[in-house]
Amino acid sequence: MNDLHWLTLKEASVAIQSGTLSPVEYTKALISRTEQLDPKLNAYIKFTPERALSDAHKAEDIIKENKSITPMTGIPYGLKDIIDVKGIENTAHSKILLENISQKNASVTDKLISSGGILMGKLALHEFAIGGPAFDLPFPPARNPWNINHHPGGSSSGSGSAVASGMLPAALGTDTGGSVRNPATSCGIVGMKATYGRVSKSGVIPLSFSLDHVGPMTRTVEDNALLLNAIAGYDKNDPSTEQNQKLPDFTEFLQKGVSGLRIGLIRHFYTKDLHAEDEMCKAIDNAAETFRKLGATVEEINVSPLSHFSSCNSIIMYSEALSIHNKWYKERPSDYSRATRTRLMPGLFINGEDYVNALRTRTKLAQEINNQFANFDLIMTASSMEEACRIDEPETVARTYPRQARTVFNISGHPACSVPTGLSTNGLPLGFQIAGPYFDESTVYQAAWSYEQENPFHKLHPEIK
Amino acid sequence: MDSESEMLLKQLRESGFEILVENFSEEIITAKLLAESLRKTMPDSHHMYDEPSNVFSPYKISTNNNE
Repeated sequence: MNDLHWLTLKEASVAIQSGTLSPVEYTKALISRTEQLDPKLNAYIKFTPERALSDAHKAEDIIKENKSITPMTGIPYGLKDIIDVKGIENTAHSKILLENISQKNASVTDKLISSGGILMGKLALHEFAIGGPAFDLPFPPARNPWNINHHPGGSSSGSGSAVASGMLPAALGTDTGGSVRNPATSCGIVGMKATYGRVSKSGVIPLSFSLDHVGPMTRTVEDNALLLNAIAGYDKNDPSTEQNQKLPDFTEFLQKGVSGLRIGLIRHFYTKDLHAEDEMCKAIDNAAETFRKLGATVEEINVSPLSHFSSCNSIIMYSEALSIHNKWYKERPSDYSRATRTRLMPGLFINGEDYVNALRTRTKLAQEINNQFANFDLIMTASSMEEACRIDEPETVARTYPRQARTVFNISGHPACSVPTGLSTNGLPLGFQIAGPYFDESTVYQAAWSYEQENPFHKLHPEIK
Repeated sequence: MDSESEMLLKQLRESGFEILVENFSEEIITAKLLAESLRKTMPDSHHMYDEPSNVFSPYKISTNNNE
């Protein structure tokens, strides 16, 4: 089998289960790919090939014994380096946690291990999931495989870079203000922030308790649904997970099509509240046309201005983040990157009244989004307002990062998925978001899959120079 | 630096942020302005009965926490 590194999770899983692909052979191919590319992409903070090979041999035994096989059995994956893996450093890409060895697994780590997945290592991020691409940290910033002079989005930057470059078929990121969906859009892959409470955050270094989500990142929609199948569910160790949630097979309705679905398009987010670059704007509008062509109705809708969602998200996030960072901020402020230090700092000036009022506003904004689902099955809008900029231009990074419409669904807690649409004239990925009702990730995937069949961007691969 | 900024830095020093003030006073002033602009952007139309999104729930207490 050629080009094992471009197999989708699904293709690899089918091949492994039919005996035509050995997990060991597959893992070796990805180890080789990583050794070749990671010196350019810096996607990994800690690469663990020995452990991966040991896990691959165990997966091979499971296949031979034909017991407890899941779609993840023998599939390599990576974890953003804020997710605990027992006995391995969990650094948050920070000098402050360089020697932080995890004492136990995060709940999602346990789930992936028990499903037979193969951990390849811990992936780079923006420090503590809040900074930007930084050059003043112990580890270099991850780079965009489509052009290594550009950033890969963040904060789950290494996850985006590793999946898009074929070093991994699947990775987990986290998303507090768009940190799964930003690298997904920037790197041209699929990133899902499921419903708040769908996936456990236990054992994940928090940024903002009430906004944080763990999410799957893959090259195809089907792979994303398979990875969500492996990590979703109630967890007694995370009181924010929903105990009564039904756990469907998220791949079940992928091929159902979008005919008859009603989609609300929030266009004012990217044409009025913020002005997306022309190519991004056209990409989103073309995606809406694709859905119409496939039989869905797409109707423009209006909600509160984007700034209400983004300011509400920022006030809650700054306040909750400072409660975690306060001690280090007093004792070791110089150990943060400049980007992280300045992004945390507004929390010092947000008072209790601001925070409580932001939480009250959040209730209203979430209800406003939720009310749209009385008339629509799905909502679509922009993810980023432009393609990823150069990584070595901190002013441009700082200007463009907040130009996004992802915080809307962190505030509301609805599931939202970034779907790639193609490349800009500069050869960098573009994309859009689809969101759905609470705990209805299946319909989001259904629409995303239909779009992907019409526009199979995942078949294009970056030439990494 | 104006007197308001000096007062702000003094208050932060007294709250235990001496190292931060000593090394990053300009970043602090910029952050103060950003926080003020966020406050201004927020809608301000709450009824006194409006509850915040994370009201206390006994269900959360009866489950384990991360620690």
